[in-house]
Amino acid sequence: MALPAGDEKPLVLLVDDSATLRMSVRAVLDQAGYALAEARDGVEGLEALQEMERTGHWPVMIISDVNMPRMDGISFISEVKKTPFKFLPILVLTTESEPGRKLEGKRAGASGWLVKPFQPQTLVAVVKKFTRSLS
Amino acid sequence: MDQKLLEIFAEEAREIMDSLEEGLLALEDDPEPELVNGVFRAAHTMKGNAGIVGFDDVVELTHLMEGVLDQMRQGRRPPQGQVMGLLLQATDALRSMVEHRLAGGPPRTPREIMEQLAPLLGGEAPEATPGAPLRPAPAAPVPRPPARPEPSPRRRLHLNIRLQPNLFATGTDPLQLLLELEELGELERVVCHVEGLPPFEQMDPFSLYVWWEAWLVTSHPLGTVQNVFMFVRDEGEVTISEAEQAPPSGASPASPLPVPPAAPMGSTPPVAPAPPEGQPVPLRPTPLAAPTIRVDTSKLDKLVNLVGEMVIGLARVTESVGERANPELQSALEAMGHSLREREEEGSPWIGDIQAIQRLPDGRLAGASDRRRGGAAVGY
Repeated sequence: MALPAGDEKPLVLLVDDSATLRMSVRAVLDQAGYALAEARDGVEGLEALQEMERTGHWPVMIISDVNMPRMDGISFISEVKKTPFKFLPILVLTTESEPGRKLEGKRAGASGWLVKPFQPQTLVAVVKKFTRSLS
Repeated sequence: MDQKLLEIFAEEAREIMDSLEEGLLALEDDPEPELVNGVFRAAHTMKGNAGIVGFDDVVELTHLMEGVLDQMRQGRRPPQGQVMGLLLQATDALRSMVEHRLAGGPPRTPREIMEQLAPLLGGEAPEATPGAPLRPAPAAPVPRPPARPEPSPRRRLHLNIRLQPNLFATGTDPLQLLLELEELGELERVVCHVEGLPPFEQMDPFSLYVWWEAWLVTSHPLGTVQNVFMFVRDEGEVTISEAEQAPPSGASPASPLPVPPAAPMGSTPPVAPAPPEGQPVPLRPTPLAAPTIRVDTSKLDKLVNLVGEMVIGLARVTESVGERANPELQSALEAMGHSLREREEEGSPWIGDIQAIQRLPDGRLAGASDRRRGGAAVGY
């Protein structure tokens, strides 16, 4: 988990086990004016949130994959909903598009669902949509 | 293609293919569910990563492998026999394809292996979409919002927007949705229906009790307007229909929450006007016990200092003028002193008032962000 230090840009937490995906999302969001904190699975994601709570460096939203080792995205979202971060929008970014899986995500508390591979402008538009009232 | 991204992809792809191979070999001896999950995830991640760097041929093969592994994950196909050999062959082919593409070679499809894998899925795996936009193109210029379809003739839409009560728990702000609607045309009128609001004491601040009615004149297709609610409409109830008539301009059966005018400090809190006959029940069945406003703490400090200076100034003037002052000045000084004494007799001297205000716990009304900005909750 890597927290950007002293960055004034709105912070987004990305939870995904793929380094390739994390790097591509970082490039897209960096260009759109966001800072990115990264975690490799749900467990690291929750640890990142604890650290953010401790330092007061709150993210404006969370982006999470579904299929991850240790703790998958659905369980991660359910856990986030038990923390002070429960009101943060959570976008699921996954290759899965099966309606049943989406419903599971929504029931866990996901705010949106974006299927990989994604177009950069689509990701930015969705992130802006979720964070607009905070900017 | 961004070289740094390709390097990360290459490093990760080699790790994934190693774990895929090791996992498949281990599965034959020990078909543990967690092991099956791990192998499935490896193929799944490989597919996603290949899509990011635009290796469509790798996406196609891993898509089939993922489908077969998903069957195993769900217990519909045992991880043994010929299929394991086929998956190992596919992994070898994958390794060769990835290295070939990393070396700059053109796409290469292992037809023979794919033709053996595809029938195992029996048409249940969705088709991979070669040629579809796969790359997120990290070095793209400043992203623009997705292109909207060509506008059609302008028309008036009437929307009933009833969102699920736990909307806030999904991180969605209803105001965002209304702002988004506004971007699609002329938002003629928005009515917030507040009949469902419980008495203040029973209100759960984390629940949504209100719903909205909106009239939007737009030239965008219906689908674009529906997309505004794409993440919230399933559990909520959003209806959009064409409206021939303009929205009612007067008070509707459920008019928006009346906002009382701002009152000066120390005045009696304003009371919302009684609704006209036939209108819904008042929104506040019981008066609020202690209405409050938020004031910057630096302003309070300034106010305390000013009042302090006034008291000291008055004492000095009274002392220096003494009995030499003309009757008019004496009368004015007495009036000022009387006013201060009167406040003291009421048990609420000015400075005390203000200091009490300053002592209000920050957390009572102000949120964390207000505290950071130096705001304080202030009673009036």
